Amino acid sequence: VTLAVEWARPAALWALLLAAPIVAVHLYRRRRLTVPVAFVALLRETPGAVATAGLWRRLLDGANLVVRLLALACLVLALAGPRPAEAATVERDLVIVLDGDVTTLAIERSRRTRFAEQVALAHAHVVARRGGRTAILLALDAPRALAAPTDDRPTLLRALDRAEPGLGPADLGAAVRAARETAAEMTRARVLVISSRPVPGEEGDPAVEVLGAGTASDDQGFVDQRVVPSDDGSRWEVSLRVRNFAREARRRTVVCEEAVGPEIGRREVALPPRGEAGAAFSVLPPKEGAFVRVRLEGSDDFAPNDDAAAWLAPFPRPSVLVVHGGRPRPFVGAVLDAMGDRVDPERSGSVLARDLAKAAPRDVVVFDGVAPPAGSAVEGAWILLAPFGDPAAWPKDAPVRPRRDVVEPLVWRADESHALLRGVDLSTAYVVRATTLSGDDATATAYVEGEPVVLEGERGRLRWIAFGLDPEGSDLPLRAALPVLIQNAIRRLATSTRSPLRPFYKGGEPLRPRVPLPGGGPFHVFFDEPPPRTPRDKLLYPGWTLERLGPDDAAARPAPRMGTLDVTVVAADGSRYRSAIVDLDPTRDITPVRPAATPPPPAALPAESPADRWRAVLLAAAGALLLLDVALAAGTAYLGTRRLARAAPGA
Amino acid sequence: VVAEALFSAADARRLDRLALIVRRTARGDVPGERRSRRAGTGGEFADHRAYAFGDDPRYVDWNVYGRLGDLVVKRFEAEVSVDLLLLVDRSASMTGAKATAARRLAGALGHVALRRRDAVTLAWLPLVPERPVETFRSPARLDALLASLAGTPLGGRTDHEQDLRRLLAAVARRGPAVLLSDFFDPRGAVAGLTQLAGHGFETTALHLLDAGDVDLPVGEALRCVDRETGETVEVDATPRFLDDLRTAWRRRAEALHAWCVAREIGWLGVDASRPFWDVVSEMARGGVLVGT
Repeated sequence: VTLAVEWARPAALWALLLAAPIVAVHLYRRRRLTVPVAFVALLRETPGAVATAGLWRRLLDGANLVVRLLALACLVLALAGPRPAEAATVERDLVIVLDGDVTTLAIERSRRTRFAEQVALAHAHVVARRGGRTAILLALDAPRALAAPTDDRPTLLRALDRAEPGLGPADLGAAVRAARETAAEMTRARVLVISSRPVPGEEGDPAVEVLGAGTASDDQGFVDQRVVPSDDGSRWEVSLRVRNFAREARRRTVVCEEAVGPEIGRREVALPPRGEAGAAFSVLPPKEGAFVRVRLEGSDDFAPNDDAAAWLAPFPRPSVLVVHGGRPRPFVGAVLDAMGDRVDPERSGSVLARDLAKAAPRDVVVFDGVAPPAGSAVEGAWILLAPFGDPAAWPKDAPVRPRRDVVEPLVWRADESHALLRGVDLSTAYVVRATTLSGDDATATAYVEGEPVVLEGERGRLRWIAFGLDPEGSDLPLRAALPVLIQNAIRRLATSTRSPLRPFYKGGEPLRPRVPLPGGGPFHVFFDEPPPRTPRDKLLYPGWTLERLGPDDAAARPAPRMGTLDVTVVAADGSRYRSAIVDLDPTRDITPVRPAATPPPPAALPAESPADRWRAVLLAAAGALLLLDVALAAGTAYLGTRRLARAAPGA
Repeated sequence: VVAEALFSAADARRLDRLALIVRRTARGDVPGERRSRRAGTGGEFADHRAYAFGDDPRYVDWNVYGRLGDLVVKRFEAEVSVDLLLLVDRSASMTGAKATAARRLAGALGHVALRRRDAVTLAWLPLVPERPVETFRSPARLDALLASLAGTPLGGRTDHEQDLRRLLAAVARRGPAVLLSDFFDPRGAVAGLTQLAGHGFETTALHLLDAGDVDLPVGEALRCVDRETGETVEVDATPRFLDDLRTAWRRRAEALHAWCVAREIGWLGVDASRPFWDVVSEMARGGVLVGT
């Protein structure tokens, strides 16, 4: 019967070389001092000195060395871990892949996360192994090695204890490919993927086994959000899509509230199985703007998609200055009064045309039937209302010029889709007189006899809108046309300085300003998260982009949760702009695609392992040999000091 | 000058006053200063004996015949010399004090013998191949004797029996013989003495004893190499072992002494480290030398 033996740690066999110094030390200690003597026979005639003690001593010395070498051999062999060859090959090497996707943050019935369940399953598989090497990979956006191939169980268990899931999507396919490559470098290794998600390419590969962990599936979450101004531009319309990932119908309450402030509203949504429903909120932002959070009330198995947010910038409230020839025409004042809070009444007012230079700058200047002073067309926002007076007296540097008067004009063509004419119907208006207009690079939105009478243009930092329809003697003030037209014009000119950031960005979406930020770069971007608050700072440059806010960016945060982020961009000139980053990934479905696997039983007790038995026997033999070595050394010492029997010399 | 290599002029003068004691009648062929009991023509009257046929009528004592009527002849002690055989051990074991002491004592005996007109035959054990025996017959040869004693190197193995068997075949006269040796003979300490006594020599053994022969370093594991044979033996020089070794060495000398006494062979243990004249005095007390 032959027994093939393998070594768990063959490198330990090099320790057998320690036999060389042991032999050297033994020989060195056995060396004798050579002395010349007159008569060796006299020494021999001394009984016991040579014949008895020397022989025994030599025997004991030799036995000492043999025993010592045997003890060393036993220790080294025990350290090298002998095991039957067939036992070593029973256990194939193993590569474990843990899914680190954010969906593994789902809370299972055990109140532990799915990732913890995965770790527990991997832990059980490691403990169940009776040999062979194991490697552990963690699937994140890129595979990460948790443990290099080893048969050291404590090392593997420590690596599992240190594992943490990512906060973004994990690429299971890349992790499985990496696991296959790792397995190719090992001995008959198989790949064990622990994930409840679909694993790309899992079919048809017998070397890849996929086990599920966790059963949680009750999740409803936001999958889309839309934030737009209301039609009248006075409110923000916040609408959201809620998806029910569960296989049962659910009713959830969507709550909209300011991050620091009162609740704005709540909507109850009925969600069909694995279906969607919408919820909308109309929000009037305060003057300073508001960071609005929308959340699903109550709890489900996966919290990260239960939050959404947006930064609702304040709508502009422009100051308006009416420039007139003696007093503002009544319908102009009435329009301003009707705009109420949509203009800033405290900073609005009127002034004579000749005193315009003395007036404080306003956001919008309405020239009410007077010509703008020469040299004033530099910057700002102008609204010019007919009549324009004598064209010869019209300033040469004005951006718009009157061309000719038309009596009882008929507006037979208008661009009604233009924002300026939204809600305005000029086709039926009765107008006594109109003045056609011209301007450089101007856009016409209404025409009389083929010539523009409503014109919009921009020159340098001056934006202007001119109305060639004279309200005097017309029914324009009586109809809704003129107030709406003026309101549209004021809002259009005033909102031109809108925020460079959108109300929110989706996670992973490039974060780019819509218009250049003032002052050029660089810019600081601050991320802030509701409690625990961990502000982070990122320095970006002109043309900057924040392509992703995934696991790498979020990993430093103590709370392993996705959700909303409050973003503040500080431009080089110190101006601050806010937005929000919202995780709205509709693919984050925690519903397991396979049942949870049962953990394997732990491996047989170590004492029953042949390798461990061998090791125990070797260690016991080494101990016994060392004891025998001590006894032999004591015997040698005893013989060395024993009183020798006196003997009569032979004459 | 050569003599001073072994002893000084003062020592030589003191030696002049000493004589060898020879217990048996000397049978020297050469007239000397030593009286012989053998009847002879010269010398002093010794005694009478009855006349026998063939006696020389000249030695008949006619006065006795006249008074007593008996025919007796007169006997005279002859003045004859003796032939001293000096056997000196030069084996490799005779190093140090033993070699010096042996050569000085042999020189002293030779000096005394030659001054008394005795002959001295010097032989080295082991034999020196080119001159196994050197004979010195006159005081004038004293320097040659001493030179030989001083100049012959040590070497060779002790084998007294074999050496003496070859040597004694070449020595015709049987007289006193003195063997100076440490008697470390693998064939046994008595092998040489047995040969000498068997050949009728009046044998004296001067046993050179050197305590250094058993003075080994204490507490060492030793490989002891025999100076003569190169044989080795490993011992552990524990204090007790050294005690036992010294006891064995001492008992060996005592055993040799007892053996010599039983066979009427003179034996004198000579501690090689003792002063020369102490040893000479010991020899006088032991009956080897006598003052005149």
